Amino acid sequence: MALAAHIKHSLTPSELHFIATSEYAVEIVPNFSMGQIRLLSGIWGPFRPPAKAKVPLWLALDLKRRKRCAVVPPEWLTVDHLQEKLKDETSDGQYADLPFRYLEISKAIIEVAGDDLDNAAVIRSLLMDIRQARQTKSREGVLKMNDTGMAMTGISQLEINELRPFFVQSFGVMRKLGGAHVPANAAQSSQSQSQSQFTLDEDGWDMSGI
Amino acid sequence: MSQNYTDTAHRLIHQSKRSQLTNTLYKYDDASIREITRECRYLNTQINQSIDTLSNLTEQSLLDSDKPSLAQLTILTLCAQRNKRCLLAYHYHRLTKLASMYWQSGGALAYLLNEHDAGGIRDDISPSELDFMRSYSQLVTQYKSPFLDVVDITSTSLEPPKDLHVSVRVVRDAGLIETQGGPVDFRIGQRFMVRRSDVERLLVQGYLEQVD
Amino acid sequence: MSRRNEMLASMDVDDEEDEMPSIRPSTYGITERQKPTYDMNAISSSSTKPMLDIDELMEAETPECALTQLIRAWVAERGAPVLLEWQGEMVDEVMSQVEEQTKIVDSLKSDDRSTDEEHFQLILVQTEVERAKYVITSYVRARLSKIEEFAQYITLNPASHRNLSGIELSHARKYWRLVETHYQTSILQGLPTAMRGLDDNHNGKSMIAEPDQDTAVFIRARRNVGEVQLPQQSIQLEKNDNYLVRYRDVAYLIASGAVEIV
Repeated sequence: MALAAHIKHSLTPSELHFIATSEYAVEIVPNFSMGQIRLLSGIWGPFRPPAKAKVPLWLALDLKRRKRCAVVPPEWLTVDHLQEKLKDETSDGQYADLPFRYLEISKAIIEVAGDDLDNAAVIRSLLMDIRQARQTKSREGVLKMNDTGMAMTGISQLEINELRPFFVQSFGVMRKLGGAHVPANAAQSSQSQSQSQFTLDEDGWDMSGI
Repeated sequence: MSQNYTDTAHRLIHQSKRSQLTNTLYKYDDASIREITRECRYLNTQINQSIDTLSNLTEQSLLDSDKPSLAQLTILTLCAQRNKRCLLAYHYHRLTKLASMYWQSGGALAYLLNEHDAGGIRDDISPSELDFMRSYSQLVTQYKSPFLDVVDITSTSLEPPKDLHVSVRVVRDAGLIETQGGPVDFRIGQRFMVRRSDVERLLVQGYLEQVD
Repeated sequence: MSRRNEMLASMDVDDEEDEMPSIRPSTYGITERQKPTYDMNAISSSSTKPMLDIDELMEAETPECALTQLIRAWVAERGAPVLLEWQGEMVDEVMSQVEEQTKIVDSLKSDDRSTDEEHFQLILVQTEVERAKYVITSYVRARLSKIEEFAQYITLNPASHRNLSGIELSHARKYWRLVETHYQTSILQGLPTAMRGLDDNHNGKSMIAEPDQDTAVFIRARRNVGEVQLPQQSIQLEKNDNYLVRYRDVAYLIASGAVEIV
């Protein structure tokens, strides 16, 4: 087959990284001067320090690796903002409002431009806490699952990817059983199964290769 | 045939499963295939005999006295069908495995078969599978031709590019390769900083190894 | 529509499926519409036009660039259980742009008068070109993988042809013929005549692998859709909402681009 089996049914961590860095744009402060540049993804620049310029994340990271810019952290990737989100996450039943690809984006920025963040270590641990709080919520979501449709308001891309194999399979099983809702005991057993899925990644952060 | 019907077929399927789990291509099991097809022909003869016997009976006697024969006919038919399904599944599994090996090799059929080297799969596949591989390779070559002057879909890696340049170590002699910066002689043990697109194929085929 | 697109998107192979396109167009004219300029300095910084803002680009009214669209098509293709519509024009557009960019890179590279700034820009352009090539490859191969898996189904069902390009359909047929030949030689000719079929249907299990429309997919609304009727409930689908639903129930929304598979 033209696609290896392991990547056929869901996106790999490096693919998610690729998508996030293509889609998301950040501001940078360049340390070089250059006019506008026309790329396939659009026209970017001009680059005139100390003025900020908005560029796709992959470009920002590329320039950063070449030591040609500093990345301006997105407003949500700050200690204050994340603390607030963590509070929302633990007090409210909904997923807190964060960018759809917040994990991939933050991981990429911390990895390459950690020195541009105020207190990268705290940000990192806040993100881990948020992620764990959200995983608990996803587990609870299993109980509400039915076989026609299930709202997952606010869930992020990476979380979807983690849940996909289990949810998609459960969905299929439920359809075969023909019930609209999971009977209570079935939900219990699927919950315990899903827990074992989550413990695979206890630290909630070091997803291989993102 | 001292064993039960479909036993050989089940062994064959176990082989496929093992191949799937270990991600290994095993040698084509010609002997088992022959045994199973022979069993199918034998079953078919039995089935036809049963049908002949049954069709001579009246409807009444069929229902009353000959239930065992009807059951026998059902079992024979199911066994024959089971055998066929196992044979098809075994062959299908191997074809998909061969096709993915072809893509993994970056579309280099000769390299994959590697007829003179112990590393090749030539000795593990049947003549018909070899025909399939050759035709499949031609098919893919046709398919990719309209894209070719922008991108070669067989030699481009499915790993998203992170950097334009990669640091590589030569694991096997690759000889003189044309790159953007002129020809480079890749000798075993050497390290280079090269454009990823220049060496993509060598990386896919395992001549070079990326070092980070 | 450019020449290549005719080949990729609309070549009709129903009658002469063994004929593969052999003429490669030497130039790709985007003649009908305004040809985009890929001169990297085309828009000078002193231009009176307002600087293009990313938020503005994200707005629905502003057409997205072909590469962004293709990335989305690729993600959707990977997530969908069926073959989605072949995005020939997008692929064609990205390929033409890659060729244009490559031409510029080559000419600037060999030009001694190129400035350091230009050389730096070249690296950025090349980096993105590699990304674009990767997307094309992964998109095309994701489709090819499904086409081969469902080759028999495609061959037997004309209704499934409308989402395929000419060369894809041709590939499906030829691939199935190869598999069929292999089955004949290796298995079927050794079996009794009555057992040589390849379309058995025993105990409700068909031999023909078919895309499963009932597969669950994660979707994300790209705009406010409003009420969506599912078999046992109706849902309100607003922009950025995520749902886990059966593919069949939202196929029309995916096709229209109102929701995307994630």
